[in-house]
Amino acid sequence: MSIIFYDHLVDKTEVILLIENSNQLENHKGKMKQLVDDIIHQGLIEYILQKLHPHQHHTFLSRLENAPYDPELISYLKDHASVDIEGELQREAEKLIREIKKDLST
Amino acid sequence: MNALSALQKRSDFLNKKLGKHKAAKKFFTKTSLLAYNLREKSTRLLAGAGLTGALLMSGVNLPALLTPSHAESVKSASVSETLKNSLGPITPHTPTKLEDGEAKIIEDVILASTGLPTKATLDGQQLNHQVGYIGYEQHLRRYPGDTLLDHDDEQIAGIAPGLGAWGYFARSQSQFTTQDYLREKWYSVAQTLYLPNWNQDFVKLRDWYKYRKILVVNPVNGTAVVTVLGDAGPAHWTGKQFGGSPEVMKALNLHLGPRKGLVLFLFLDDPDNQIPLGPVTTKI
Repeated sequence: MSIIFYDHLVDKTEVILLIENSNQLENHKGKMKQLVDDIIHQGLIEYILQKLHPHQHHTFLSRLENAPYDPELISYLKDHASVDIEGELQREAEKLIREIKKDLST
Repeated sequence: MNALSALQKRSDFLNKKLGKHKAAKKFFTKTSLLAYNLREKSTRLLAGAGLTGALLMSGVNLPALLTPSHAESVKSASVSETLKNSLGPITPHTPTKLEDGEAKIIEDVILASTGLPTKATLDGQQLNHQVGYIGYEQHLRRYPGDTLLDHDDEQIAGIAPGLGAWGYFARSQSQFTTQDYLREKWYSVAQTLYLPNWNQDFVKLRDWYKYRKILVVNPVNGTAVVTVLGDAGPAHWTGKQFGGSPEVMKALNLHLGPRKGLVLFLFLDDPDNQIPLGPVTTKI
């Protein structure tokens, strides 16, 4: 079960391992992992808002705030954004992870 | 620029991009939609033994709620924690009429956790769903002349313009008893009108279902409420199968946001009317 409704579509294993195995200070590693989570979250929510009509933004964000785990959020997005929203979010997350990996190599 | 700064810069950039959406700006200003806050909230709602594996797989800094000390506190299980942990993994997460085998397992779990004898089928009667979405109902008028201001809780819900399926709870204010008061406070709603034999056996079924005791359980957080059927509905088109009074929904922690959630809805086998109405907090 996902803690946030899209978790099952995102594989952060590689970037988390990259951070864990880096020579960063331990407190920096924690901060970096949190930033990875934030970046993916912000990126996916922004992607979703682009796909939804602005009139639906408030409803979606309210439902997300109230029950972040709710699988019905995916159903809502299938109805109002795209029938293949799961595939699209998966691809968007992969894109974000590629960008994160570039950041980690700097 | 080092990796940490690069990540911070990317996060700031995405945050600005999000802020261009009017609704998102409002939500993210409150910070309640940051990933960490959402995970913390979600975890608070979902944390339970059956979910530990999924949580660990998320690969992020988990909120403090998931520390070993929290896990220890889960062990000192209250009724709701026991129900949450035991029902979560076996309750279908879609509106369902339970098969006999499934129902028996769930009935046994509830009996062991709460001491309450529940039945998917009682006296040969069965609802069209035992798992379904429950919605937030308004208060019902309890006697002629009853007003919203006379209701002592959740006045925000308003009062339904019409009467419940069984009419007033009492004929007049002077005949209004504590039992009537509790029945309205803890009423639930089921789609009796869609029962296959409702029209043919209307008189018999109406009497059987009137104020029939129902246990409503929210398997996500383990809250449970003993209710009575106080009305019929909701309509098919709503996508919901059950309804709950404002107090029932509050007790299930489904009174905010979409005011809807998936619940177990089972008859209580209580021929001598011994089980009190209201939230289940201790094992009887």
